Amino acid sequence: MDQRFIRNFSIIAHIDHGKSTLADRILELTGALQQREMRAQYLDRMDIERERGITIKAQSVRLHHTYEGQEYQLNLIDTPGHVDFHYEVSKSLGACEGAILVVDATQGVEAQTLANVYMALDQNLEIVPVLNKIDLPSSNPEDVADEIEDIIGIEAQDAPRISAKEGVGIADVLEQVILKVPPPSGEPDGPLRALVFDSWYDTYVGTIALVRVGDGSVGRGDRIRFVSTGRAFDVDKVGVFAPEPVEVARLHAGEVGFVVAGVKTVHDVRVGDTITGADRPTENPYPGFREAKPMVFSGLYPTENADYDALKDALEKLRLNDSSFTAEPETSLALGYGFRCGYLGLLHMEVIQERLEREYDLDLITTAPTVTYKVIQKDGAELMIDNPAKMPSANDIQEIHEPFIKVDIHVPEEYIGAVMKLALDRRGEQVAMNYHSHSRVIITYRLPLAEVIFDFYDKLKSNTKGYASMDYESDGMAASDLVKVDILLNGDPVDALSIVVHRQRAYTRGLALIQKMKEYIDRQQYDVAIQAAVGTRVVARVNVKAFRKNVTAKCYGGDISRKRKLLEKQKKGKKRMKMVGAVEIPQEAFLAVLKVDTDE
Amino acid sequence: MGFSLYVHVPFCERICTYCDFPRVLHDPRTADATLSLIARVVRALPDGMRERPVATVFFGGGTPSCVPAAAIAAILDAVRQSLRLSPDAEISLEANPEDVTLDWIRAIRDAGVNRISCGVQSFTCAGPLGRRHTPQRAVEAVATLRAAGVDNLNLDLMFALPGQGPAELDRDLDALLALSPEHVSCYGLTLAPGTPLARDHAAGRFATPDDDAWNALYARLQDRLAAAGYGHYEISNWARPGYECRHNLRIWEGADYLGLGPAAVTRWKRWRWTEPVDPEEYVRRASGCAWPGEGPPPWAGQAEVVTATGADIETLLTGTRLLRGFDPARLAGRLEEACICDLRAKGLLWQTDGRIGLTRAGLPVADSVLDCLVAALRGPEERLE
Repeated sequence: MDQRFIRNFSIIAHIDHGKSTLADRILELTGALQQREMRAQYLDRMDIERERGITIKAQSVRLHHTYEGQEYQLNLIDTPGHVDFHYEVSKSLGACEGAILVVDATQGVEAQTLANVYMALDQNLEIVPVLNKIDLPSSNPEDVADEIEDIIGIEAQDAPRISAKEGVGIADVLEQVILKVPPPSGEPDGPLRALVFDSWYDTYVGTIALVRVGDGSVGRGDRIRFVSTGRAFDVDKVGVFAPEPVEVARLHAGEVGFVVAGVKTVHDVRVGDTITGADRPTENPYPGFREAKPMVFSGLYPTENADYDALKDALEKLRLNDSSFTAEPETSLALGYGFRCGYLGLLHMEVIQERLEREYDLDLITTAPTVTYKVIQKDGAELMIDNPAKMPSANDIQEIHEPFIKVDIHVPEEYIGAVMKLALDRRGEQVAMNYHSHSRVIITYRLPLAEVIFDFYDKLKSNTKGYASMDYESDGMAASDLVKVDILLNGDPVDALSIVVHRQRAYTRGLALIQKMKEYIDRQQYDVAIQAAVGTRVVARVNVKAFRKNVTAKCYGGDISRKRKLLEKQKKGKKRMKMVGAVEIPQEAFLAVLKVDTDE
Repeated sequence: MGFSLYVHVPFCERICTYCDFPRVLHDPRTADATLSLIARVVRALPDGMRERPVATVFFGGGTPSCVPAAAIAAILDAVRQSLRLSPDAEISLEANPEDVTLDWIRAIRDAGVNRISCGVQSFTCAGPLGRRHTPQRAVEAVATLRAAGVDNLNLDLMFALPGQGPAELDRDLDALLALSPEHVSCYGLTLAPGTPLARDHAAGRFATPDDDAWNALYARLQDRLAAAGYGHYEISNWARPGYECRHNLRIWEGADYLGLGPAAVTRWKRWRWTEPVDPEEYVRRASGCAWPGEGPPPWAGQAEVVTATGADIETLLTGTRLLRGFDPARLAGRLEEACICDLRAKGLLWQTDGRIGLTRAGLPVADSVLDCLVAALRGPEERLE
């Protein structure tokens, strides 16, 4: 198609502002989907995405829309909204010329609205603001339009007022996309230059690359080369999602679609890489994306040691679809062979674990999430430690550095006090405070990442009745007075349970942790002592008393069936237990640190 | 192989405060409809289920003594006429002391019942448990039973009662032993969720012995009953030699049993099913309904086919309750040896050539030991190796 009639755009929004609902309505309006085929959050293909109401993987869909007698090809690229998945957003934005900015007219500009807008502006995208949820009585589109102009500095008075839920104003949105988003401007006859903005592995065809063609075209039988790896492949198939996959003859300059080229591993198809013609290469490959670095780490172990290979396979397969996730083999005295995995954030970690259990039917033990520490030893050596168990002995440590982040918190002013208290409790240092309207404030903190990864976001939400929103970016590393707290069961340290905390909190955090663990560890045949220790000094101790009496009085006909069913259920649950020494520890106990209310 | 027959008579004149069994207040019309239906079901059992000899029959409840003896007799007539009742079958019936009269017990014995289980529960503390009889009434009932020729008698007792110490237990035991029953069932009081007794306990109206006190009472029970010549053969059961309850022993050893009447549970080969719990529903669903073939009847409330692992769990859960233990050959190497070694090292389990069972130290924590054994059971997918 003539590039003049192509528009490539994505939808950006703060979480829950209605991005996926608007995408659903656009799919309906353009006839890509009949009503009867429709399901909510159509583009979120993974069960886990729909259940949690989040988007994890980017998707693209080609739509046709006629405006003033002219047919247009609209390529909608759906992006994730959660702060953990920034990386996916930046990848997708690189394939667009414009972005619809959805702002909830009852909530106004939120932290991720801004973060996403800045990312879009970085990529020189045209922003098309849209005010959503006007069907709600509490919506206030005029004020929110002013807010968008004040805070973001983009014209918003003529922004479509819509209700994605009710299907109001959807055509206006498409009109704005056609009028405001510039068409692609590549060289249709130039050498092939296509940007890979996502890739995933399919068991039947191998790796599928989602591409945006800049210059030239690509079709079946072409010999292509990946610029960063230099490897060449023959194209088996090209196509588009409309929204189901449809093969097409060629993808031309300005178009978005998928390329299948018999690539066996996803590592040959790097997101951000440029595809070019093997015989006629481009001279201007795309610059490539910044690699997303994992921020949070945890151990992943199979509950049954025999499942190690299955876990390894599953991790490899997941890695095919998720380049932002890392996995390195590691061993634990308590848990045996497993992997140290890196994630973008806690939600990402939960999603990975859930997918492993659900899609690969694995029973896993996850250890408490941690950040990467830089340890400077007295002998001058520097170590990067992403597992508290690997922390050198306190005697050898000169200094421990931990990662910090800069957090922007958007909050109505009546909750400033609550936010300040929370940030202070988490060793936060206020950097700035700006009113962005008469009643809304952006407070910027510098906080240790380790203090944020557990429950900071949940606390922030609950302490502000849900009004606060946040976004963060890395802010380097700095020295802190940190110690490793070991957890001992019956006197034996369990390496997988060690945590690193600020020295002043070693006692309170240690005690809170072992008290929480006590709730998870069943009474066993012997008393179990749980201790928290810093070095050789025990700072807190609790006991799980053994059952002195645990016997069913009557066990006749009906009782046998009842009891058997109970035991069958329990036996299934036992799979998630790990024997450490003589003590059975359920999966939950390894994550007890996540459940500790650190502010008590 | 013979099987056992269990008849559930879920009717009671009064509901005891600790009871969480399937039972309803006695309503003669419903009871009559239920019991006559049971007799009809016996006469119309599917062929596959009529061919095997009936080794034992047990009327439990509820309160089987509160319904007319004739209704019991009618069921036993049906059993004799339609099934192969072994000539030496043990036929037990549970009775409440206050129901026992000379006429009644004569009629019951004439019907074929040869073992009576009498629910005394306590000679000193019956009131708070919601029992109707006075201690004196229990003594009279036993005398009446003996006078009618009952020579295989069980008395039920409860211990770990509110406020019970060794002295109170001794008084109950003295009273019990004076009656010289052939068999004693002695149950630690269980506060079943939802019962009035559990609610009163939760509200702090009374205290029950703590774990250590419980253990002391249980040990005393074992010592005193042993001294009086009763053999301890199951966690809560003792008997003079040769008077162990054959019906229950068969069930604990894994024999099939057919349960008839509301809420009765059946174990028939790999099938397990439960009859509808509510008597009126049972009558409504089972009346005039044919039982076409071996397996659950069409009116069964819940039915399942037990898995191989489920069957192993049953072996363990009944086997560990018996003082003589179970034959590990029944699990054919599916139980991890390491777990048995560990439990033996802890002194909770004993093992001889052909048997594994709980030690005296293991009995009070039988459920914990069972949890370990069940966890050490290899599932079918692991058995292929």
